[in-house]
Amino acid sequence: MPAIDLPTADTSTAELSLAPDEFDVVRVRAVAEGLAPDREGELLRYLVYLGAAYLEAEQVVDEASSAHDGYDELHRRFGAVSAGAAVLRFHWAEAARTYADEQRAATAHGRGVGGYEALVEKLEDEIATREDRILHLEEALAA
Amino acid sequence: MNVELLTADITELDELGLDVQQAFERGCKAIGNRPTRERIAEKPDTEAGVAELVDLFAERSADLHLVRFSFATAAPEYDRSTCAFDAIDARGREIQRDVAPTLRARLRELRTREAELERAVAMRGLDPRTIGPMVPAGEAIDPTKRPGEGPRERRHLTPLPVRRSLLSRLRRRGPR
Repeated sequence: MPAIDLPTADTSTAELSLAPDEFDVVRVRAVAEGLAPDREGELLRYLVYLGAAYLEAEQVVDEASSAHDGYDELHRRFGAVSAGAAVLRFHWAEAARTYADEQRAATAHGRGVGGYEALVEKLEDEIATREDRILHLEEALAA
Repeated sequence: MNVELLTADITELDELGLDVQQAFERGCKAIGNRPTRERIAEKPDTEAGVAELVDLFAERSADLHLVRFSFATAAPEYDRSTCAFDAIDARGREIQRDVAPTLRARLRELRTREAELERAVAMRGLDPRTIGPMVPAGEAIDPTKRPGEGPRERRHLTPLPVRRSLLSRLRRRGPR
């Protein structure tokens, strides 16, 4: 795996409460906006991530002593997440490409190795037959 | 409704003093009520600039976390694939480098011994073809060494001549 700070794949399930009709409204708005993912599972996850980021950013603004300080801090965090997302996307694309290559190569390679394994089996069979015959030939000579 | 998140996401929310439901509600509130531009347009250090950065940061951070979730959950499968590929590759190399050449060499020895014994049996007036078991006709494997099988031969380069120092070169040239 690439040398990036990727968390483990451990996941947890959290319960969310929202009236179904309210969620339908959110979904319609999300589609209209065109930024959020379409599938329900991903959309729910996106909404949690989006909300967490809003709350984090709003906390920064609340705690800042001036608009300048708030802007500076937000700008720094915006730069960090933008760079982080770009790096992550790059590594993910690389990993996915390697995975696809490995899958293709493993299939071809597997066929090659399978052929070689069949050859080994045939060699072993022939060796056993010839060893047996050599024994019989030796017995015939000894008789 | 249930949402699947990385355990690392929940830890991060905890560190910010937030819970999943709280974040979800804020996310729902933001959807449809935020600008959808991707770059900074407002003047810095202004209220509008700060508000814009809040929106941009939130969108970019959500995007980063979505990518991270997808990558992190796919990573074990990527690792398994690499391990499986390496195992197939190693087995192929092992057969090609060690197993097949050893078996072919053994087969060559056996054929030589078999031929010797066949000649000896024939000299005794016996027909060696009556002594089995025989390898079926056309099924005998060619035991000659194949290119690419066995340990890779290293190319040896002629060693470079000893480097002479300036002094020794002058000495060699001798006095003029």
